[in-house]
Amino acid sequence: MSRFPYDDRPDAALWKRAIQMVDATEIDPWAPVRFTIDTRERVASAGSCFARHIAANLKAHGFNYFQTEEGAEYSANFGNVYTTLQLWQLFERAYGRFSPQEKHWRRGDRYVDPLRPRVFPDGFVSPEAVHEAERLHLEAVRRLFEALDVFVFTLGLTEGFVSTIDGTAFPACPGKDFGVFDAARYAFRNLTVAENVEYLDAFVSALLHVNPSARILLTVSPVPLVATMENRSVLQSTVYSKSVLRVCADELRRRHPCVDYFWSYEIVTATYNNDRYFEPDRRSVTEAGVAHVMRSFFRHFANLEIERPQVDDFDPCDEDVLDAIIKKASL
Amino acid sequence: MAGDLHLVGDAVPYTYIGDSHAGSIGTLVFEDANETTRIVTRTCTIWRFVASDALGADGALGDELVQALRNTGALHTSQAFAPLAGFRPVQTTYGREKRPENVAVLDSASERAYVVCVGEIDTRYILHRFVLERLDFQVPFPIDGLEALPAFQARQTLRADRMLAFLGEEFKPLFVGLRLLRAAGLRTIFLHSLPPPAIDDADAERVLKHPSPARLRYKLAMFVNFLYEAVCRDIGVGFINMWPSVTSANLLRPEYYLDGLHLNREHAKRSVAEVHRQMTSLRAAVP
Repeated sequence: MSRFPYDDRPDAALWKRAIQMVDATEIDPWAPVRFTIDTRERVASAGSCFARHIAANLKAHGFNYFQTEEGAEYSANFGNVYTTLQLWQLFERAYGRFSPQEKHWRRGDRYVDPLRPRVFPDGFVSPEAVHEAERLHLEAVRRLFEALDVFVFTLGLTEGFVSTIDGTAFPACPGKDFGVFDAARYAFRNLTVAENVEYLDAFVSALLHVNPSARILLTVSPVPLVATMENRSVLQSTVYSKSVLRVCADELRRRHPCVDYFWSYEIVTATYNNDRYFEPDRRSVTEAGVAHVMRSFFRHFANLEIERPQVDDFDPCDEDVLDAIIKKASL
Repeated sequence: MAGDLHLVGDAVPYTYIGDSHAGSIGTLVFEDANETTRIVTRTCTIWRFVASDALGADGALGDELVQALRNTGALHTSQAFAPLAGFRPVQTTYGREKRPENVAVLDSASERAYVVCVGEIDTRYILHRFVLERLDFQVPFPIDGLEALPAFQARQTLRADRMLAFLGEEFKPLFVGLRLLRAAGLRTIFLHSLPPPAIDDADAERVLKHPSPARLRYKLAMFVNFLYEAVCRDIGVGFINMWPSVTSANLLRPEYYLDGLHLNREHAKRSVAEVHRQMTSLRAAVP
């Protein structure tokens, strides 16, 4: 008589042992990983705003965080890459196969790059300076893609605004601090599962073409949408967006042996720790949440146990920190 | 009878604009020691005025605040004025049509004080949420005296910088609005401190409609006032800080108690005196 199939399941597969009986701050929703990263390998990253936590932690723990542009927040100066369409277009731009028609936006007497407005918020002195900076940036992006060992991409959003003329995906809705909104030039898009899979699959295939040994680690940002253009609650749109991206990541993992998934989203949103892992705005992830994510990341993808930091138990009264917050509040 | 009235002269208006705490100042007449200057307080209450009402969705000043400042003589509108950053044109009737007029600060506004009272309603909701979620927070200033109040058993304590950032976001529309008014040339705009809350928990629950521990109520009001003072200093707006005058060891002195929420006329007198002191300094600073 054959054994009941669930009898042989490991603890991690059983809710009672993996979740119910474990301290919420110790839940580790792991899966067998396809590769590990050592400190000599070049690890690059991009993605939505949550990606900066991963970048900062890789640097802080002595990993070879690969950057091809100086002063960049991520591996190059692309700023936040929220959608799979942005990522795909970034690659295509870098290899000269896509060239957006909107090359610059005027802002007062300066000019900004429509695809990187927040990277250089003060802009450039002339349109030519914007174009030259973009040329150098795309060179750096090519160097990055061709020389990296591991690319960590944080999937952030499915919603975005695109050009009605050539489909360029903008990192933010034109008119929000930069550019001027024009309903004839810009349109809202909410990418479906099929579209996300198509764009991300195209990116992975193209990356492997220029860098056959590259490995890709996908994760989903747990940060909710700040606003939705869909006619429904921002909470519904958040759940839709994250669900689509989670499915997309799984689909890519099935299609490509060099792609793996890391469970940031599950740790922050699904370990019943919401009050500890989100700031009072219920959107920003706390240090405790990031620390839990990174502990699991390093344990499984780097065979490294990092100390559990004590957070929220000290009172920084650094006047520079307080002044910066105060100044931001009235701007 | 009208015949019994006699004109004693002009008075300088000090206008309190905002939530019910502005209304609680009332209409009072003051005369200085030399009997040469008369001050009259006016109130312009905006029903359930909160920090986010200071700005509209488009980032321009909120309609009700602009209307209050127009009605009380701080702002004027004309087709001849140039557009002012942060102010929407006001639609004004000319015959059978509406025409847009731009806003400008009246020169005479520099003689009059405009005191904005806002934020207490905002803190009620923040307090309610913190109580429900058993959140406490650290503060970047001394809170001597609050140890006399029962401790709050929190599940989590937020760091002071995080709490400051949270409050900074909550009150940002107010601060941006004040900065726009100051940039438009309204030098005599002031922000009033939040009053000390009721000390007694049952008294506070009666007026706030939900339970809260006194220590948390007090810390929150003090933190908002700390933020108000710092932002006002940063953007060049006067801050009317009544906390030192009406508290003893940071707790409300009973002689200023009115109804568990608002403070009484003695507080109003001290508030106007502080506005007057700062107005006098402002006038002295003008060459």
